[in-house]
Amino acid sequence: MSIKKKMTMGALSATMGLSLLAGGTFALVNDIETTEAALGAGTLDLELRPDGETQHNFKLGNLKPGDFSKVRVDLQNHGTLAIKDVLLGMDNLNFDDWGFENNERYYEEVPEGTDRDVFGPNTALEYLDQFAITAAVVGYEEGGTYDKNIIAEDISLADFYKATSLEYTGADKQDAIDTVAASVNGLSYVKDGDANGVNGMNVSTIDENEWYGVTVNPNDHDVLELTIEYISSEEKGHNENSDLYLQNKFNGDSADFDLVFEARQWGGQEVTEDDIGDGKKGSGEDGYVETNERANNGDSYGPDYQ
Amino acid sequence: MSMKKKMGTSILAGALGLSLIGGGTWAAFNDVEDTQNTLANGVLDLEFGEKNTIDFEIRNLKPGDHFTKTLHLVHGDTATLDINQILVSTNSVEGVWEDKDVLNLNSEVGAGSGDNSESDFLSQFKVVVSADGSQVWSGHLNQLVGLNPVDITGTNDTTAGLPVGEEMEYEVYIEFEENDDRFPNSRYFEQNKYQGEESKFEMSFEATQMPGEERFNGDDAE
Repeated sequence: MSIKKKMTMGALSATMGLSLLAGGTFALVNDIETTEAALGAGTLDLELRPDGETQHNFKLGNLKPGDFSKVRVDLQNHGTLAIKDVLLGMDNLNFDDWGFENNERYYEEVPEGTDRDVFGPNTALEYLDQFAITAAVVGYEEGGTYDKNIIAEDISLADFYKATSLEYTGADKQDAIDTVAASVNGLSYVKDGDANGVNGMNVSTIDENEWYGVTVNPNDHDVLELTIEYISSEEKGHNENSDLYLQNKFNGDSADFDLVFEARQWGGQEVTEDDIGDGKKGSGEDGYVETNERANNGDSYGPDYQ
Repeated sequence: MSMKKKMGTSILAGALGLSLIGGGTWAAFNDVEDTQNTLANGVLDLEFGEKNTIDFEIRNLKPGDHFTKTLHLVHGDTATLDINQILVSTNSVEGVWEDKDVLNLNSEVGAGSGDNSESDFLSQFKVVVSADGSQVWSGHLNQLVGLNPVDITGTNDTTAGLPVGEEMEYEVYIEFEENDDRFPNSRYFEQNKYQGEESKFEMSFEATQMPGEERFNGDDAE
């Protein structure tokens, strides 16, 4: 036992530098969260219906000065968005000057030898100027009566055409706009910027309550009564004859045109939880913006009336 | 509210019993030492925070309507790993969108006037993303949908975009933009072709880990 032989321990310094790569080459970690979002546009849809038995368009023939005609148009909202206002305008005018074509005698229409006392050349606008249009909201708001509200009385159809049609671009358009705007009751004339914009007469209700415009909720109708009158004038001088009424030259003339109803939306609004789901369509879980069915939902009442 | 998807934590408790045999077989002496080694994986867990409202559904909108939602991203309760980047991708959900022509523009105005794609529809929505009141991104929804994943942390590959303990909050403003262009020679606004249409999209937020690095004994050890 003498020889003490120390075994040298292969001193294994057991400090193991383990590089632990979290991830690294053997595993990648990530995490994914997903969410869904949906956006849907509403519908703005004005429908015109006859009110009762009457026609809702004018079809008049064989008119003489002093004649007038009324139609009633039921403005209905068939969309999901409240309509702020409905602008009435005129377009697509077609005029026939009896006995003339491009200011030249047109013998196929009126044979040679016909008495010149009973017709004459004139323009479409001269013809339209013989007519006056009156507009009144007479309709019921649902569940109550509504006082007749005259929007405009006896506006020259020529001025109305010049002011509101897209196709008329004459130099006096702005004058016509001003004339019409001045004769329209209260806040009902809408000017869209300048003479090149779209102008029209608001024919929906403008009482500042929940019926303003044509709402979806409450379920609104506005009934509009339009009157067109062939104004009789006692002015004389047709064919420079002091016995003949000037209006003789309009004999046989005819015009057809569209009355255009443009429904407009309310302004944009900030949509919050309060606007969604009063239970009108679904419980609100489907995100339906319920206040967009109501009047005054975006901007305040009629900000751009002038 | 938020879909919670947990990464399974695989904890590798590695007790390595190393038998260190000193000397050869002939020796009578020996000594045995152990080292205790532990490998523990961290947890990378991204979640939507309680303020998150980006999971919206809003219908019956009209041009001009707008709203603001909050994107709130946090670490899960058990998260231990910093997040490097958060990659957002947005994809349309199939089967929701359809081209509608509520006002019959194809006959009222002219063939094709009522037609549009889902991307056209989404292009009507302006998006402004801001953080702490300052704008970080603006564009339109169609630019987001279908795009390759985009990082929203603004950090590079080696900087933690969302360190553990921090959260991320963005205000997302969305507006159905109003456009007063009308079809030529018509009173109809062009935007009428979008009436009644709807789009649904899925937003996916992918959190990535930090790159691998050399670790030293005792780091984060318990």
